[in-house]
Amino acid sequence: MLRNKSLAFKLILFLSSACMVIFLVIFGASFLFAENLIEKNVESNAINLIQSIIYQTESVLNPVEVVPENLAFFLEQNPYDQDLLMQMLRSAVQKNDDIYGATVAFEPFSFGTNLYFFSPYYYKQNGELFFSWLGSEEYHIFSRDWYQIPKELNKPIWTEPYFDEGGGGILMATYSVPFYEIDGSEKKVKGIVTADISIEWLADIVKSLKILDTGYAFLISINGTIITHPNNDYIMNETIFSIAEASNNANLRTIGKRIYSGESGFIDYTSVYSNEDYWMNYAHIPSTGWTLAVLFPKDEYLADIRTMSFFVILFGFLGFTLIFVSVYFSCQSTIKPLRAMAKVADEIGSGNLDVELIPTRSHDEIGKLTEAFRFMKTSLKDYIEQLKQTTAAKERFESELKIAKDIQLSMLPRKFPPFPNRLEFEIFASMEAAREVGGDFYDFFFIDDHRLCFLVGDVSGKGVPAALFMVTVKTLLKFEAQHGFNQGDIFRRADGRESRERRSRLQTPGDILSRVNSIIAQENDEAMFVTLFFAIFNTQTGELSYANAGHNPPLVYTKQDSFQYISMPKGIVLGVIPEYTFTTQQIQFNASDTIFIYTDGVTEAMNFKKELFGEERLKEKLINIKDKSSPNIIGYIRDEIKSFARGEEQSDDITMLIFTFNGNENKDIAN
Amino acid sequence: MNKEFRSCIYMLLFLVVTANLLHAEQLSTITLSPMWRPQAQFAGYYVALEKGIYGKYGIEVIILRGGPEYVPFQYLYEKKADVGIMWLSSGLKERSNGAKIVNIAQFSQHSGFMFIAKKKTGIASPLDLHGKKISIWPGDLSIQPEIFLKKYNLSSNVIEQGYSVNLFVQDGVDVICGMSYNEYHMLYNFGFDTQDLTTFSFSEHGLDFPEDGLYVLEETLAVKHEALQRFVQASREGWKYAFDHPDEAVDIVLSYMRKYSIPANRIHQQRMLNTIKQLMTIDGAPGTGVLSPTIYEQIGRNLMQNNIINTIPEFSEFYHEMDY
Repeated sequence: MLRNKSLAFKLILFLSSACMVIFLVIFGASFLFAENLIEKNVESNAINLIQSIIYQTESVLNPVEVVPENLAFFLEQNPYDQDLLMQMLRSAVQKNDDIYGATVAFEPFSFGTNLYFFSPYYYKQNGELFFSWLGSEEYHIFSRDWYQIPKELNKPIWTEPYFDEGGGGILMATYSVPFYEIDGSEKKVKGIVTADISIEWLADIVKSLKILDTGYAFLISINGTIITHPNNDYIMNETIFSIAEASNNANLRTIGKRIYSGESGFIDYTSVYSNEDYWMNYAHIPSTGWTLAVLFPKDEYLADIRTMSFFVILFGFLGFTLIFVSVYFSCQSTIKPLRAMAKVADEIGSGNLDVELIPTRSHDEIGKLTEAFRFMKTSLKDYIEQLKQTTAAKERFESELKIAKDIQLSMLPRKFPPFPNRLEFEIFASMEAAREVGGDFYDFFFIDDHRLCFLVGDVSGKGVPAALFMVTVKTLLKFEAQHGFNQGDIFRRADGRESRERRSRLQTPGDILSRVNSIIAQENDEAMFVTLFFAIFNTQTGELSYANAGHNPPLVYTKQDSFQYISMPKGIVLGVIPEYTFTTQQIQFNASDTIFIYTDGVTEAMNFKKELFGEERLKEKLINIKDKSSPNIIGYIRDEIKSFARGEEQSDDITMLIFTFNGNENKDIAN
Repeated sequence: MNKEFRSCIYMLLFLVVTANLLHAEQLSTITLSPMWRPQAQFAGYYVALEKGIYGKYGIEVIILRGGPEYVPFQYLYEKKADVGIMWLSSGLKERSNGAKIVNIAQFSQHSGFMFIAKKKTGIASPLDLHGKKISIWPGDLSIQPEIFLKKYNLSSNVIEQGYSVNLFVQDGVDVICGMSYNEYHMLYNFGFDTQDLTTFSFSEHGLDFPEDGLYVLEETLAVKHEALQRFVQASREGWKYAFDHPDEAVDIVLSYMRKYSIPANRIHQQRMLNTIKQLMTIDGAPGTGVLSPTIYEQIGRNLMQNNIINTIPEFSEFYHEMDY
């Protein structure tokens, strides 16, 4: 996809994505860092703020706690009667402005043996002091929280806040202290001393906490009830958990539990009330166990860095635009000559080497490229000129070679059957040349009426020298076979001259080979040689006499033994040792006997595994042939070699000659 | 003189007419004393009042505030109320003790009463309550808990339970009494998850006593028979309306709670109304208000076996069906 885009596009893409990544990483890291910094700041301020409120609260609550505690202590330590008790209670309420009411409630029958309830209660209303007895059939003081909880927990407690029942809707809380009757080792609760106070001042403090514009604070009691909150509907009606349930906010419930599980904390909080995100700092007020939570609005605290971020992004965007534009234009100016050069390259590619290059003055890469182009153009021109000449020479040479090859081939007899009126035998041959002019050859001819000569040879080397050498050998062979004589013995005549006498016609293949060998060996400066199988067949007697000059042994077919390699007389290659004498060997042919002669191109044909076709395979293939007519055998073996080689290039000439004796009966019929 | 005499006659006439009117008005006015402060447990009555259903039936209904100082049986006896809402076990006990009270409608069909404990105290089965500190509501509300403790032969430290669950929240008591529609959910709103609590619903321990029923004195029934009949019918309609319009019903209940400065929590009242509906349902129908003689006999026998009552009052004397 990207491959087809222009260089300018790719450059802008890569450059801008790299810039973008760097920008985003720097921006993100600095944003997070700044946010973290602000959060830490808020947290430390929050802790200070909440501690100062708690300190303020405790400084009001603690002196109030002292009053019932002292009274309880007095009741435990000193004798008293009803008058004294009432007097002390009255003055406690009267003298302490913060205390709205107080009672000393005794356990059933523990003040007077006949009194189930004994609980004198002094309280203030509109600045006046009032008195009443607490406890009746309807008002079971003993199961009220202010009585029962300190009694059962055996410790002073602050009750859950409640609204003043005397009207006015003042938020109150009661501090209850148990006092004991110590009877020997037994310590039994004798009653509870209480002090009621208004906690409106605490509600005011919490309500007045304004954290920026949207921050606020709230107070919750031990069981989670909301004591103060900017939303008046929540006050004393809802708990943090009921709000969580009503708003279906499981997270708020978790936060609620977290608030109760620890002393204090600083956590993320999304308000159901204002639907804003906050940092919430909370801490327990030690004396009451209530929890004060202060909410710091994230949005407001982060507003500045968000504004800053906006500008950073804006400038970042402008910067990007600038980068795009400058990259685009610099690409254009760089790429323009490149495009022109691409066009020039196209022209050159299509053969126009005379195309004009755009002149450039710059010494940058583009300049160097233009220079290189110019050099390339000139070199190409020279090279092509040279190539033209070489090609012409090569073509000439090749055509000459071809002619040579044609000549060579034309020297081999190619007309089959060559002797149509001689039915006593069949002869068939083929030569398949490798690439160039090769060294294989074959020949057959009559020496006289009933003696047929046939031969297959292979000249060492290839090319023209081999071909010429082959021609020489072939011509010599034919000449010597048809017209040659022995050298004869040399006689020293009476006059001192030497002369050769008693020369006779060459009769046997061995003779002929010896003679030809001595001729070519004498003048063989190039040390070329030839392997050769040479045979003379007597059509009257069926006798095959043959000699061998280092050639592959042929195969002979007889009815009894099918194809077998024949034994060969000793014989080295022709053209090496001038004085060498070749011997002749004979075998008798019956009707339908056949001889198959070939060159090493057959047995040394190779496949891609570098395996040779081999003599064994050749023999096997020959035996397996059903139709044993001569052309068919040669065609079959050729096909087998091809399928064995499987496309491997033919490295040597493949030459085969087959001779079959039909018997003399055939001759008679023909005549 | 003549003029004065005429005036006197007019005055007398006026007095007689108003007195008659007042008497008639008194006959068609019903005062209801609920068992407790306004909450969704009594939604049907508040809804019937606020939606003008009582008016439609030609009666005027006054619902007393309710709360610890309002004991329905006492209010009936002192004739401060015509109708009192009491539990069936209470009604049976009082009638058996000779009180001439009659049940004119049994809206509750099942018990929502239970013991609640914290799992962390290791309480998982009834036997685990042995030796534990248990708070139990006083009076007739102690009937089921006492039978439960007796049934499992438990000896526990029982203290009187007040009106809040704060003692339990602050670990001052191991087990408390609670209603499925009230305290149980209240604890949830104080941060206790379902899995934090072990509950023993009395209904699952052979003590499925129907609860809220409407009781009147025999003499009141005789005097205000027709008005009471209308009251029961209108109340049934009120309940139906409440169940069909739960949000509106809860709004009405909340408005009463605010009026009396009682902590008013919407989600809590919604849950309560929903649970109450289930407790009022028998044979798939909520709020029929009918007391089944079979259930009556069953509860009666249970109370007698546990020495709460000596005799089971005749069903026909105890229950007076107000329908035709």
